[in-house]
Amino acid sequence: MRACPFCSNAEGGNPCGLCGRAPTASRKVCAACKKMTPLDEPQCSHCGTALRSELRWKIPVIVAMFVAAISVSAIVEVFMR
Amino acid sequence: MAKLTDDLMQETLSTHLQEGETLEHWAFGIQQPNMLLMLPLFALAILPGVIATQMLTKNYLAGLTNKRFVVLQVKSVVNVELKALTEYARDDFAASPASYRPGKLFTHIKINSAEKPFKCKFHRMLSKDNRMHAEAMGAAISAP
Repeated sequence: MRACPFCSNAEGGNPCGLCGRAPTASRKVCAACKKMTPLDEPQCSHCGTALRSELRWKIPVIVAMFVAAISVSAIVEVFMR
Repeated sequence: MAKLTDDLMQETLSTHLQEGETLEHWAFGIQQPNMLLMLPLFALAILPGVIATQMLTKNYLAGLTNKRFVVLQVKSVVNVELKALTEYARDDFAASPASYRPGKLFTHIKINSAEKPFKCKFHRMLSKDNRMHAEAMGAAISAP
């Protein structure tokens, strides 16, 4: 019998007899408590921290980089005239 | 717009000749900004794309056991700190096999799962046996 990766229930089961989650579900490491939590749940199953996609900060950073690059190019072009 | 040819260059220059003057040679040239300015500008144009690609790249470490195909999402190729884990029972591939394509540079593995879709390419140059192991995993889960 395999222990549940989310609640560590040694009895296991599919779904887990204690927390009711599928033991083979995709999971990620919570940034706050560093424990495994289901990927498809909005909050960490252990500490309750909201799980946010990394794209929330990556996309704005990428857009800002391109805007900065285009702005610098435009400024250089104006000053090179 | 017509491409600049020898004839067009002569024709263009001829309109500016004085009476009795003959054109002997012609060529097209450019004056570029200083190389010290061009190199940072090229970097400025290329770097955001390189950084964006790097930021959006996910790094996986995959393993095939006698029971499961396990995929670890790690931070980077030099920092294998675990970010996420996905697993597939090998028995599940009997019902819906994964697809796998051995390319010249990359071995591609794709799992068409509604719950846990997975798509990844494994570079042959990462280690001596990376290609061999990736192909063996691909073959095992695409034709169980």
